[in-house]
Amino acid sequence: MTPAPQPKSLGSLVLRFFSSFGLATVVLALLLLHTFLGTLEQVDHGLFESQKKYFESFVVWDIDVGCCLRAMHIPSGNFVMPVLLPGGFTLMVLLAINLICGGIMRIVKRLNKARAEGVNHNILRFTGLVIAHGSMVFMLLAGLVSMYWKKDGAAMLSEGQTTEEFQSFHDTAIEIQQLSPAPAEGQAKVWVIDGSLFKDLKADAQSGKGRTFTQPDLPFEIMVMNYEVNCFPRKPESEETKRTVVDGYYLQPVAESPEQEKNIDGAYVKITHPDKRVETGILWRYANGPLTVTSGDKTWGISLGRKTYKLPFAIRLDDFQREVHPGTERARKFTSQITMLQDGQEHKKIITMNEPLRSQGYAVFQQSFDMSQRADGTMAERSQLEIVQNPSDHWPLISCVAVGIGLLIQMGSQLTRFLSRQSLPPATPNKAVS
Amino acid sequence: MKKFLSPCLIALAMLTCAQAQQEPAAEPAPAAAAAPKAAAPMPSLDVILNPEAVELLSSLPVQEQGRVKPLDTLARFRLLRFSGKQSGIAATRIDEESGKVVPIDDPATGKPLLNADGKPCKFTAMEWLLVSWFRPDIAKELNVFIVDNSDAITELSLPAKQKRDRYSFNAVQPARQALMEKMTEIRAIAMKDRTPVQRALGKLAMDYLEYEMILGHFDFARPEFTQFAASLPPEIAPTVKDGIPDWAAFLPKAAEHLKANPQLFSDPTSVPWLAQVVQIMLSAQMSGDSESFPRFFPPPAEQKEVWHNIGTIMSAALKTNTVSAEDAAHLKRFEDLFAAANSGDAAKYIAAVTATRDDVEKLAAARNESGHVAMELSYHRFDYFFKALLCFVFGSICLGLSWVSPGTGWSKVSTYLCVAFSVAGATLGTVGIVIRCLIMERPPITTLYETIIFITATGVILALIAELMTKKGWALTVASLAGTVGMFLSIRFMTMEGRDTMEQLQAVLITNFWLATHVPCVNLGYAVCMVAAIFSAIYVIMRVSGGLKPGDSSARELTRLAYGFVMAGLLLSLVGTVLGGIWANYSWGRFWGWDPKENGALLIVLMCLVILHARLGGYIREAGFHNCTIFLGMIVAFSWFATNQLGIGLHSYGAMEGAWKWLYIFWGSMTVLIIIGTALSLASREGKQSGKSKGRAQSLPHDAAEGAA
Repeated sequence: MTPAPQPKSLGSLVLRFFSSFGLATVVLALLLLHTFLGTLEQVDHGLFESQKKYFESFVVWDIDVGCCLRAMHIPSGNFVMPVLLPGGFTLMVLLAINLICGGIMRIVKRLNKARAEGVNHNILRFTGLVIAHGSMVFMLLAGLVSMYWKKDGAAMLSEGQTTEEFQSFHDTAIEIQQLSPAPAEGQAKVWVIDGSLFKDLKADAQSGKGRTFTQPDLPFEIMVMNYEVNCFPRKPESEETKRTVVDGYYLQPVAESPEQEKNIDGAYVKITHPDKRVETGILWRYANGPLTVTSGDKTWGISLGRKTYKLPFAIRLDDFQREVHPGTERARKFTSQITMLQDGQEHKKIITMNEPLRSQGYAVFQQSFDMSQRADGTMAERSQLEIVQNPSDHWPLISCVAVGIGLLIQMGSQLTRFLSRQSLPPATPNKAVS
Repeated sequence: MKKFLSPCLIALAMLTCAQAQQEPAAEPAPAAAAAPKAAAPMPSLDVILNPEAVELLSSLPVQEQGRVKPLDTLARFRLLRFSGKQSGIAATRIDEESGKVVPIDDPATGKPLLNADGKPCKFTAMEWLLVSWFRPDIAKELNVFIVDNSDAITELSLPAKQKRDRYSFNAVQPARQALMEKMTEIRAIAMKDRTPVQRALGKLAMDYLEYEMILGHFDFARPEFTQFAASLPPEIAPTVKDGIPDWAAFLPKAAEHLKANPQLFSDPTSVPWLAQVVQIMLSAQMSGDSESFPRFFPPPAEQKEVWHNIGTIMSAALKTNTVSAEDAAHLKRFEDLFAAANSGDAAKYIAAVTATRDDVEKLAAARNESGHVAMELSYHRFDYFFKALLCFVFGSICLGLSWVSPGTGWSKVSTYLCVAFSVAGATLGTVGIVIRCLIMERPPITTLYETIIFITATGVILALIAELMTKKGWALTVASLAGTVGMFLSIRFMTMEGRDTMEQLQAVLITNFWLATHVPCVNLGYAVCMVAAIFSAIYVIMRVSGGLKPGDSSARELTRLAYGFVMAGLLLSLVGTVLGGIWANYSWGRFWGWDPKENGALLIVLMCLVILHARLGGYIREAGFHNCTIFLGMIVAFSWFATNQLGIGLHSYGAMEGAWKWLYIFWGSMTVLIIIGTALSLASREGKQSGKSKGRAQSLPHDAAEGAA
């Protein structure tokens, strides 16, 4: 008589669920679906929006079926199907949990089985898989670290120009800086309001709402209102307008570009002075200059733009060279000859395609260039350098090597067994099944 | 579509249209390139197609699309684009009365054009180019333009032939004006919104204008100015003798005249002699796209690496008011070549060809820019991939014959022959790929075309290795099928693209390390997954035909093979995809950008993982596994081709007309197999007969399932 199975504890049921092949299959299939849909929706909605919707989300609420069909060259109208699916972020967390739990469960099971059977189990038979699973978790972790802690942006330099900062590609910020009296050299201070603190104040969703920011060193309060992702300042056609008009202009929202870099954001700010005096202003990323606010004998400049990051060193562009394949406009090589300046020392470096400069946790890449005409009619070249600080910079490489080793061990072990079976006389199907 | 209707081409079209519209005046209007030339000398075909001269000119180095290549390559791909084939342009026409194919007559002699055997002449690409240069009157009669949709011809009010047929320059000539008007209309329509007729008309217009330039390449050496002698400004007139300008003297004078009379720039077509200069200059460039100019003359060592041709020399002279000594020598070189061709003396012509080629080779060698002309010439002539296709076709036939009487000696011999042909096909494919690497001095895959030949060759090799290990015949079937379909696809793809398959790379891709690691790894992943999908397709077809029963030894063998290839596909795709991420991270600072091509590779990895885990969990069994593997093949096709057709992302190269049609045909046929496979699975109720664990072990290699778990 076989003993009655013992009731499973809640903990073991949860562990079993999170380590199951079923969960792995469903999560992987949903990731497959998201990757497919996210790829197709890029055609109409752009990379940034698709990435947010499918790959960086907790939940996916709808699928733009019409867009997906059009991307696949199937004529269709506009049809958005409401759904409720776990988003890419949720799926990746579930996958990481599944990989960890699955790996642990299988090692424990295998060892228990080997112990029960009193056999010396071939450790290679699961070492490969454990390495592969562990490496995948490490790779997902690298992605997580990169997503939250990576800083990336660009610096555009003319020949001879020096910079020790770069601007973020996507992150917006409001910067407040004292203009006059001008601070002594090295004493300049910038107060920054991070975009994450006001980007939710969009005119459509939060009309009329604002958020107030104060800083002990600043003699005024600043309220940010009606942030627009893409807009431009415009003069009202008539005096009777419902819009907030400041100095004869209001911010006209325009459709967001699928290419996020092309959007020009703006917002209204209300400055409240200690004497309760209130003034309103418009911040726009491509404004000619900062919004100036005078309080007492000091003047401050307030501007909205891409977030600026400081570099631990300065970069001077000495020369930029662009090579094309002969007789064509097809780029063969872009090269920036730069000087790294730090602590009074100068180091000559070359940054070119596929050969970035890496120093002190920062990587500087040759990204692009532009040409502009000087006043004397000659052409001036500017080099755009992409600058990245990523704490998990090398983790994917380590993970890739490990996952390759893991899978090779697993496949090698299977191939050996397969070949050894091939050399045996053929077994009947019944035997094989048993 | 940058190249389509490029400014030069439009300029030429407008120029000649304007000329055609001009009222007859006291001064005769300049003849369009298509109009009969005034007493132009007509060399004999025997001279210009002298085998020695053709051979010498085939290996003439020429710079085009940023690289140095033999003139033969340029001729092949020009002809391929116009006519859909690289060789075999017949000098024949359909006789209107009898409806029979008859040789065309030589307009100069009135005699039919026959070869030494008395049959109509058939020209290779190089011969066609030489006939177009030196005997445009004959070239205009050759059926060169392939038109995919005869409605396009009807639209031009011309007599149409078959639905897809070829037309000569002279056949289209009466509708030139209408064609140019259509071209202007079509320009305003986005490429994706064009109808098949509009696409056909657009292609015909572009090909027609480009061919018109090729026909007029040597117009600079013809007496084109005979009729303008009286209208030439007095300071320029002395530089023209017998209607042929002394260009080294003519061009600086013309440039000075233009500087003194800047109003001429506003409408050069109103001044006949100037219109003629512009037309000759554009024709000498031989293309409307500056990147496609054939550049014959290497500059001196101290100058930039852009070579010159007659058109660019003329253009530069009009800008700078001078013709350098080197450029004057180049002009003289081609004038002499033309004169020698017209002399009727083969020895003189060969001497001129030899001198020209030697001079160009010497100049190129001085700059260390000789390329790999001889190797490339022999590569194209040997046609490795067509020969590989023949081997695979013969191999497939032998395989079919081996099934006629299984187990007999006949079957054995046929199988051995199939193996031999498959090995030969794989060897030819591999050698072809290696030669391409040597010519371009880079790893094997840089374009979509190269992915096809690489995936086919590696897929066949891997299937042959699997056959060596299993000796059951399944992998051999896959090798023959994959080789035949893959090589056919490569040839069809090249024809559809109609351009040189050896392209220069964008800056960011010029890194041999990553091209030699990430790219082959990902493409091997494609190859392996495709092979797995073919195994599964065979499984379904064999089940339908009754050749297999679920769980029998053959079915288990096929499943094992497909499973092994899916596992290998997972390894290669995963490592290849991550390597791509590492390349991106090390080269431009981001590991993963959700680019369509990256996502395509990820889709393959995810599908392999879904199959693996569903299999281990017992959610799919034999038929379900094969259905999933066929679906994996559909995903590979999406990743391989469809992502390039979306028109977005960093990998949006390789977009081409007709790709979606072929993709839907493939997906449709695979879907049919999946539906059949599902029906079979349900019909046999194999899943209900056994528990999960039994089902898991039923056909999957038992150890594999155990080991993986």
